[in-house]
Amino acid sequence: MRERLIVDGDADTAQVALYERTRREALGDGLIAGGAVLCASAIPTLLEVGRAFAGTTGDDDVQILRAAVGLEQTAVVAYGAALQGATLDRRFASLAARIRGQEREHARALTAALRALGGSPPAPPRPADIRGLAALKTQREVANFAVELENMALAAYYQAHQKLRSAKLLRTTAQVMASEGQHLVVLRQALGREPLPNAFETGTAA
Amino acid sequence: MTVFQQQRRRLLAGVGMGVAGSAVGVLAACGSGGGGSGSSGGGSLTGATTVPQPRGTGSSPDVAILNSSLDLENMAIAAYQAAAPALRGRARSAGQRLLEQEREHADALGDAIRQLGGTPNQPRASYELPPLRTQASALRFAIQVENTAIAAYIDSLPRLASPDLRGTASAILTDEAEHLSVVLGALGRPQLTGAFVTGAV
Repeated sequence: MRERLIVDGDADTAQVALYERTRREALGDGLIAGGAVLCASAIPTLLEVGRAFAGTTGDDDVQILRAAVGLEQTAVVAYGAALQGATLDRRFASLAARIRGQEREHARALTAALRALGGSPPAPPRPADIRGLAALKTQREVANFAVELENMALAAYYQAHQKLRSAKLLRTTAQVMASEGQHLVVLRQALGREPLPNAFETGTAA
Repeated sequence: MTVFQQQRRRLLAGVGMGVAGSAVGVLAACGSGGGGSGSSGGGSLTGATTVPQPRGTGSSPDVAILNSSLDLENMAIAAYQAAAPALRGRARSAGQRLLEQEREHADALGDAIRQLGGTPNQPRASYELPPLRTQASALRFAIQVENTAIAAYIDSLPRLASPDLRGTASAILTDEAEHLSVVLGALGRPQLTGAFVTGAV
């Protein structure tokens, strides 16, 4: 019997099913995500993040970059809201603040690169635009949400590296992806999980 | 310059890294044992501005790039084997995990090279590594190993013609960055090395 990855909540049933199927396929169909129980209301946002680069055409660096900016903006807002709205101990709050600062640096650098290519960044989301954020109350909920957010970012950058044409953008986004991987390590450790579950980090390991 | 530093310079040169961009920090900081922070992303390019077009198998230039990456992985395997006796407790477990994952990287690179019609480079008979008598010295050396790999993969990524191989390289690169984070944690140092992980120290 398969364990559900998602707790019941107010998300659309079809979205829950889609998210669970996506994660299961990514995890190897049947591997349970180490107790990564997620608020159902967060699923739509994570699905959007996971699809950030999937809809881009194969040769449009600007489109990929714009999606990456949106991804990083979402992370900045999510960590910020969690810092304000959830109960976090001092050590974890410091960690979350450090991660948020790095996500902000990513967003700024990618926005600058996007503008240099003639593109315009999307408007940053408001906390209310990110479903599920308000439901995050405990440190464990925040950490689980953050793991999923970082994993979706990694999966998106992994896809992007197969599509981007610009060598410079490849290097920059590789540096960003590596940073997201380090975020995952400290988040996994905060949750008492194995920090290095997979030799190939594609955003599919818990 | 130590023997390891000389080896690393040769290996990075094999990947195609010049003395510009992220390679500068790596080579300049050999032996410092730094954590690899980088505050600015997107270093200048030393080569083409776009990725090369995919070509058929056989004479693919990707083979040479992959073999240079394989050389680095083989060196990392030798380094973690040499470091193992100096590690204790959780650091020993972590070291074993890192060794296993470097082997997985080497196996995957070898498979990819064979699929392209190439021949994987073999590990050297021996590597001239620094003395690793204490846990701290072994972990500090591991930082150098991981930073070298990170810098090399970042440099090699835009040179790979195959989109799939670029994906694989970025997946390995990110794992190496995670290794760095774990090693830094074992030393009690900050684990997030910077918003842009460059392998520079």
